[in-house]
This record gives sequence, structure tokens and C-alpha cells, in this order.
Amino acid sequence: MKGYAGKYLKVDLCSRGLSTETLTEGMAKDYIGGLGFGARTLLDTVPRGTDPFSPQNVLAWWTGPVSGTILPTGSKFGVFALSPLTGVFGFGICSGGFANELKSAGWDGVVLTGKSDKPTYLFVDDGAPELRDASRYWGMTTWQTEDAIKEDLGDSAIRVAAMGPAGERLVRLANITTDKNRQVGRSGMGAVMGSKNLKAVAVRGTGDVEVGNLDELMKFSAELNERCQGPKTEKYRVYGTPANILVHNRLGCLPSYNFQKGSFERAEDVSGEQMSKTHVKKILACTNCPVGCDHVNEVKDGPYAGTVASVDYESLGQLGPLCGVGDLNAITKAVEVCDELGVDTISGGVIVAWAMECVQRGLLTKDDVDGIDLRFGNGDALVEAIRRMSLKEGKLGNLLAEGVKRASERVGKGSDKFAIHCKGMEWAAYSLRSLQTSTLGFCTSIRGADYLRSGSYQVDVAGKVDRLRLDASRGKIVYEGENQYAIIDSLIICKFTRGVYSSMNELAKAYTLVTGLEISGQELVKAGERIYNAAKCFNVRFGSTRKDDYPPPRAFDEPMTDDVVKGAKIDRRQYDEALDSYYDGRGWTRDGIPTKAKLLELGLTKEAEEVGA
Amino acid sequence: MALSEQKTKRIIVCDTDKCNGCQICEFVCSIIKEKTTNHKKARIRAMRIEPFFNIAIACRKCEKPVCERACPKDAIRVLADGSIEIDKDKCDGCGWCIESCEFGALRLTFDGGIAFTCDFCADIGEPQCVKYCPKKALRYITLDEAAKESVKDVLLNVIDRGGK
Amino acid sequence: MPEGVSVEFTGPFREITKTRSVTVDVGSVTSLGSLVSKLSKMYGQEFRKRVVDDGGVGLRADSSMVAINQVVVNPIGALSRPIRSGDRVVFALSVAGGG
Repeated sequence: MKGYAGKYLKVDLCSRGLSTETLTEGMAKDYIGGLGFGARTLLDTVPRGTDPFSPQNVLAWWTGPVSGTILPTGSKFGVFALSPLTGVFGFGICSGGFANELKSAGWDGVVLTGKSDKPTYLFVDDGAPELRDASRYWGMTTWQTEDAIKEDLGDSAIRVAAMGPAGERLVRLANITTDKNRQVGRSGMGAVMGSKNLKAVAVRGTGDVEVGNLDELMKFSAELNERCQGPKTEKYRVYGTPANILVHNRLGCLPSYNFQKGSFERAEDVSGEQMSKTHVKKILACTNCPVGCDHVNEVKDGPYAGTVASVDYESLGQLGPLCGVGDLNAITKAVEVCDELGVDTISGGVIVAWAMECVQRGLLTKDDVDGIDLRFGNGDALVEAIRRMSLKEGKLGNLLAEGVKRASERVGKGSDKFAIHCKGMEWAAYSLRSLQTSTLGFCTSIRGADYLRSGSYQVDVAGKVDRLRLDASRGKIVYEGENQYAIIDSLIICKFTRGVYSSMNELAKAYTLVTGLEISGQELVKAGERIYNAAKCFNVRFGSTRKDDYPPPRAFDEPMTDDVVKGAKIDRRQYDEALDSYYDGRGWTRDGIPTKAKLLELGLTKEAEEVGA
Repeated sequence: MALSEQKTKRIIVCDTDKCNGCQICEFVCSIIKEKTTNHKKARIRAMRIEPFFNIAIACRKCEKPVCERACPKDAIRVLADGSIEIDKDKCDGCGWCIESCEFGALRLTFDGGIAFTCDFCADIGEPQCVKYCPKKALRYITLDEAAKESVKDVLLNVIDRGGK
Repeated sequence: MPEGVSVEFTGPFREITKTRSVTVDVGSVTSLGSLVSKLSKMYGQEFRKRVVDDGGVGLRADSSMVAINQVVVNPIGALSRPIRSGDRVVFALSVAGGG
């Protein structure tokens, strides 16, 4: 096999034993890589009833076949584990040089089990990996850790992925950072590292990466490179995803004030246009990406002068309008705090916004929030709340660090009614009620509330469907998106390049040029279906059923008040009809369980036996 | 170098405003020169200095190359176009040239430990990294052209702001 | 109430028109296509090129998105969508991708 290294590293953190395991061609063709491998690994190694913070949880790092090659945006890896935030399938996908380096070192992935008895980090030094003492780095921020490890190992070309102080404290939304601005963001993978006393994974790879057909791959990549400079990627390259702010605001689908509203009176102040004018210092690119969409802000004045942070739509939306904050300086600072201490900006923003609504409704006293003036619009309070949450400081910090679901259960008093999440995963910056196909996709996502599994918001914002209602046509839109995105997350390439590939057949062509393995576009989609079902089976193992595929009460019970989408809410019957159409189309039961027949069709025989309905 | 050659001496110039750290130049170089993907075998080197500085550097075709003078084995020869040729038989991998080059333009091969540097894709006739740079940050131009580009940028900035 | 269609520009449309919004006399405007023609006369062919495809028939969905009264116009048949006095039209980059 080309592209793939053909082997992965198994690490037992208890015994500190390291072993080399084979990656079979069967595994490669059935599960492709990345998300596919992650799903397979978790299914094979994490039994029902496992506690996410226990040594029994498995932390799997997987690249795809295209990492280390010239295929644009191919340098990506995923980190997979049972999530301490959601209790179901957890993972994040991350760019940077790490994936290329790991493949160059001769590994497709690393699977860690157990728990180290003292702070440790894994150094994958080509074919001679070793566990090393990390006590010197314990307590350091993500950025400090990266710099220190490179310095101590005497090689600035080493790539490091580290958790921050938040991960050390098992903050449930803790993330993993690499190359300063890239994260394994959601579902608390940093917290799983913390529970294993694993401070970082560092990698040095000096090997060649071989592909099936280098000349043709080079030609195809050059062609894709050209397409990446065209209209399909313009939004990312020029304003970046913050270009969404004004558009969503106009459409009444920009979540603000903890999803109470869909527009923000200060949208212009925090728009992509404004940010480009006054805050964006430079636009950087991920390793091996010809698009270049990373807008990095620098704060020039005020109390946060000197702050540098990479700000995208989600971070901007959830730390800005969602918290009622219209100050780019404070928002940029909040992002920097998240990045350095190591927490997810999306979850962080939603949790603080929830707390702000609690304060608004008098459900949290001044004492509960450690005396902070935690009201909507207070940027300084936002920054302080994020800091405390990331360090589990004070009553507020300890409450918020649990994630919005648990925090609202702890506070009670009806605060769970406006804890905006699905399966415990905080909702991303897409309206609950005025982008309804999006909401359906958020709820069927195996990771919890996010659109990265299906991209189903696209039909809503492109005007291809009526976004203010649901019907039985939406299920197909969602699951077709999910199957395609599962492939993108398994190869792994960047979703921002999805527009430059004309079809799944072109993705199949890329796969064949890299690996030398023949596969058609259809077979690729089938693999995507298999991968998605595999991840779903893991969730079923952990108790996920139809009841977990619903949006929060606010979606159904509170009609929107914004002029532009006045009265918008989700009709329960319509939602059920759309959800039914999703399950039916997937070949699952109406309770959201994959049928035995479907699983056998996909070759998931063990799973058919274990969870098939 | 004769004036006639000086006038046409071209080097790979990197616009640090446009360079965004993608490293694609490195991957392309390794494919073209080594027929494999391994950015550590590239002749051009992408450098990043936090938080905003990015550049890709290759051999500068120095007029009085330090590497040539530094080599204890006389393994380095300067060609007519200003580029460097390293005699594989004479080179013993001491690395003195690598240390002495202020631009980090030389590297040691992994196998055999022989020094190598950019030859500007002499066999193709045009540096391929320049061709594939997605943001057109790399140009293969004379230093005089590079100087004019810099001045033009500054002037356009002034004009844009309504200066005289 | 003033007659006219209120037009708002975001992203690259702001760069082209150098303004955030404008009110256009509805007189001869009856469809989105006519509105675009009128705006192109005001702001130049660059505006038109972003919105209308080469054939002059359809909306360039890859480089623009148009919303009329907060409803995103389906690219198919977009240019013949009727426009009335009092309508609010927004020109934006085609939206694709979130975080």
C-alpha cells in the first residue's frame, strides 16, 4: 500500500510498553483512515460502561492515507476517544504539520491506552518512539509547552500537540493545540489527555512518503491548487469565515444572547469586514494548504493591546454576539485565553452565554459568579469567566468547567431549558430556529451539536429549501451530507476544498493516485456510510437513542422575536417527520438504531450482533 | 562575476507579506528533485518566526560565497550563473559550509551525508517552487527587479493614502 | 414612506460600490435582473460580473448570494424574481462553510 505507512504505534501508558501494529489493506479499504480508523478503534477497544476519565478510555490519533503527500490540505489528523463532555463518540480533526510529520516518521497513527503514573509525553522519533518525563512542562500553557519541548529536544522542526492547564484539570471542554493556532477543538480530547497524565505528543519524521503515482498526483494537485485560488474559496481567502457575521445577521440566523435572538445590534462592529480593516494582521495558511484562510488578529489598543489570536467565525460568533459582546478587542483576547489555556472556543462561549442568561434571570447570584459582573455585553467579564473556567478557579470556574449540560443540571431552577446543546455538546454559531435543516443535522451528528458532520446548513443559507420549516425531504439532505463528509474526515482533507472537487469520483481519483488502490466514487460513498454507521454503533453502545437526537426546548417553545424571522420556531410534528425521514433513509429504526440488515450490508457484522435492531 | 552576468543573475525572492507559511514550496522541491515527498529534503527552506513572519529561502547566489571559501575540501565551485555546485566525491559532510551560510541555504543528505543546495532546477530551466507557490510569493527575478518591486509597494501605499 | 428598494452591500460588494447601502428608485425596476442592471450602471461592470453569469441569464451562485426580504434567493431563476418598492435586498458572498 502506498500513502499509508502500513503500521501504527500502540502505547500502554500503565506499563509504558510500546509496540508496532500492522495496518491491513482490508482496514484501509473499508475504513479509509482518519474518522474511519477512529470509529473502528473505539468500537474495538472501548467497552460499554467505560468512564471517559478512567485508564480504560482509549485515545487514538489517526492520520489518513493522504497525509505526508502533496494532495492539498492533506496534513490533517484526528484524535478519538470516548468524550468526557458528551459521553459518546468524541473526536476533533486538526491541521498543521503534525500529520505530515507523523506519516514521515513512518506511522499511520498512535493508539494510547491506560494512564501514566506521572506526567509524561510521547516523542515519536521516526522509528524509535519513547515516553519521556513531562513534569517540567506540567502547568505550562499550550504554546509554552510547544516551545519548551522543541527547545529541550534541540529541534525546531519537531511538531508538538499539547494540552494546556485546562486539560490537566480535566476541564470537560479542554482541547489540544499544535502549531500555535491549530486545535483538536471539540468534545474534550484535551481532558482525556489530562486523565492519562499525557501532556503532549511530539513527533519528528525524516522519512520519505511514497505514493502510488507521483507524477499524476503532482499534476492533479497542481490543478486543485489552481482551483483553490478561484471563486469556490474566495470567502475563506479574503474575509475568512467571519464574512458570515453580516450575512447571518441580515438573515436572522446569527445566534446572539445565548440563542435568545438571531441578530445582533452591533453586528457591524464585529463583522468580518470590520475585522479585516482594524484587526487582521496577517492571513496564514495551514501546512500544505493552497487556500490560506487563517485570519490572525492583533489588538492594537486598549487594555488588551498586544493580544494575538486566530479568529474564525465560530470563535467570533460564540464569544461575540452570543455573549452580547460587540468589542473585537475583548473577543480576540477571549480567543487567546482559550487557545493558551487549552479550551474549545465554541463550547466556552456557549457556556459563558448560558451563565450570562442565568444572571439575567436571577438564577445565579453575585456570589455564585465570584463577584464578576457577568452580564451580556461585558467583554471583560467574558475574558475573566473563560480564564476561571479553564483553570477551574472559584465557584464559577468549577461550575462552567463541567460543560453547559452538567452545569445546568447542577444549578437547576429551569436553567437546563436554555442550556443550548445536543448530547451535551454545546451548539455552534448557527441559529436553532431559523436554519431548520441545519438544526436537524446538528441533532443527528454523532459528535453532538455541530454541522461538521453534514454541512446541512448549506441548503438553508443557499435558499435551496425553506429554512423556516421542516419536512420529509430533509433527512436525505442530511445523511447524504454525512456520508460525504465522513469520507472527507477519513482521507483527511479540508472541507473548505470540497467545492473544488467536481464530484466524489474526483475524490476517488485522489485516493487511487495516493494509495495505488482502485476505488470508485460510489464505493467511497459506501465507505462513508459504513464509517458513519460504525460511529453511530459506538453511540448506541453508550445508550444513544432517538431521545438524544432533539434540539433544546428553546427551539420548539420560544418563537423568535427578530423582525426578519418573527415567530420562527421548530414545529414538533415537522421535526419528527424530518427525523423519521432521516432514520428511514439510513435504514435505521424509528428509535434511531441501525438495523441488523443495514449493518450486515455494510460489513459491520460484530456491530450487527451487538447493537443491531 | 562579469557585469553581463550580473545583469541577468536571478535568485528566488520571497515576498514576506504574501508568504503565509504553507510550505508547499518545500514539498514541490522534494518531489521535483528527489522524486519523493519529504520536505526535509527540499532545497528551499520555509521559516516561521512567531507570530506573523513567514519566508522561504534558497541559495542567494552570493557574489563572494562564504560556502566556497569555507569548504576545507575545495568541494564547492561557483558556476557562471552564480549558483553553487558541490563535488560529491570531494565533500566529506563536515558541514562547515552549512554553518557558514547565513541564509541556511545548505543541507546535508540523510544518507551519505553530502552537502546540497538549490540549483534553481537547472535541468528544467525554471525553479519549480516559484511556479507552484499558491500565493505567488516566490519570484525568480534579478535583485534589481526585486528592489523596484519593494519601492513600488511603498509608493503605492503612499499614493493610496493620498500622499504626494 | 419613501419609494424605493433598499439595497445593502456586504463583503466584496462593499469594496466595489464603496458604500454599505443605497436606496434605488423603483421606477423602472421590476425584477432582480433589472435591479442588477441599474446597479451595474451605477457601480460598473465589475458589479455585474460578480452577480450575473457569462450568458447574462443566471445568478452566479459561486460568487454571490442575494437575499430579498431576508429570504435567500434560490439561484435558479433568480434574476426574474420580482422586486417591489419597499423591498430590502442584500448582496453577499456565497456562503459556504462555517468555523
